[in-house]
Amino acid sequence: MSGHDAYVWASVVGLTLICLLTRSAFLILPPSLRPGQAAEPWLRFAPLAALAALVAPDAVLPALGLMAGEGLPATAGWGQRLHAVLLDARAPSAVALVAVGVWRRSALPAMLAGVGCYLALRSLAGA
Amino acid sequence: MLVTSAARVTRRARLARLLRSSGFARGAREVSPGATGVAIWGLITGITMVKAGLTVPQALGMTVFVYSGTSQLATLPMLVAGAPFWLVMGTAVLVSLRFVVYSAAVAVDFGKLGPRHRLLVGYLTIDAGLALYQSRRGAMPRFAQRYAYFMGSNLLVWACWQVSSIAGIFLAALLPGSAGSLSYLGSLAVGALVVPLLRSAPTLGCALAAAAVAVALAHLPYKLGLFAGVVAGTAVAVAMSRRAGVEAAAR
Repeated sequence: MSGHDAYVWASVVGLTLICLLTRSAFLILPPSLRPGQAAEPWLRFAPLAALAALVAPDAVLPALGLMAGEGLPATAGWGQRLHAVLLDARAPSAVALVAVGVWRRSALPAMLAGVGCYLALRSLAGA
Repeated sequence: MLVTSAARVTRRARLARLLRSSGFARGAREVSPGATGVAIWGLITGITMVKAGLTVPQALGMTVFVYSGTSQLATLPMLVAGAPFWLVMGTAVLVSLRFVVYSAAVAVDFGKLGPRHRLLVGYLTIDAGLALYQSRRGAMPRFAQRYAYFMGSNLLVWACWQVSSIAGIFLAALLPGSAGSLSYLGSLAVGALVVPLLRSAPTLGCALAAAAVAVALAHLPYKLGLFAGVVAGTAVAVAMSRRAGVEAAAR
């Protein structure tokens, strides 16, 4: 078993324990250790913040870099930079995902729009 | 020996009674529209895990033991990139904190069960089944009805998730695109989970603040930008919901 294999399996064990223990918190913790009423909004909002903070850089940073001209010829104008952002596919597919998600108010159509856009642009780029 | 086999017979009889009860069938029936969505989601999660670079046994382990699409997808890009272990665990804890709130709701009805039974209830508690249970439990005054309904709805969701995820894991091998080339699909899947949650001003403020801070501080080491984003987003949302509460009370 390679080091990375062992690391992934350790993560499977860790994730299993974390998910099981958080889902069972009020079922197994003695009342004195349970989080109080004041903690509820924090517990409710923190996961949403974590998910947003997790994916936003993946979607936005490559596009910001390309718009700043990173990795492109120094002569590349705005049109070429925008073209590079489109072919990179990450930011445009995130835009498609958010647009469809806001419109349909449902995860599945949003996911399909994002993935469809990503795969289509990548095949255009020849990747 | 005699005692254990007798206990096994009672357990089997109890299980048979549960599976035949009307509450069990009703729970399964009423959750089925949502279970279709869960099945499609499981299929996508299964494909994404393998396409991002997990091996088939690793992806199966995630599906069966972790049984949380959000935690699996949120940590997937980190796992593939070999991020520090504590970072993976820290992220999993953050996205799982909502489960603590869920467990408080579930414990009202099931807190008196035996310890192993309580862990089973905890394991089965997920986003899709809980909202339905919360909206229906008031119509079922007896514990046995509530228990049967909870098990009927959540076991169907569990079965749909497992079958579709496992199908996705094996299907991934047949699809084009080499493993590891498509880890961004995991980010897209997480993004798709976030957008429909943005139904109120506090949730919108939460996501925007968290995303802006995480992007602005992305250059910091140890994913400090991620954690700063979580703190900023959560603080903004709590402040906004408190103010909304105060305004609602004043009206």
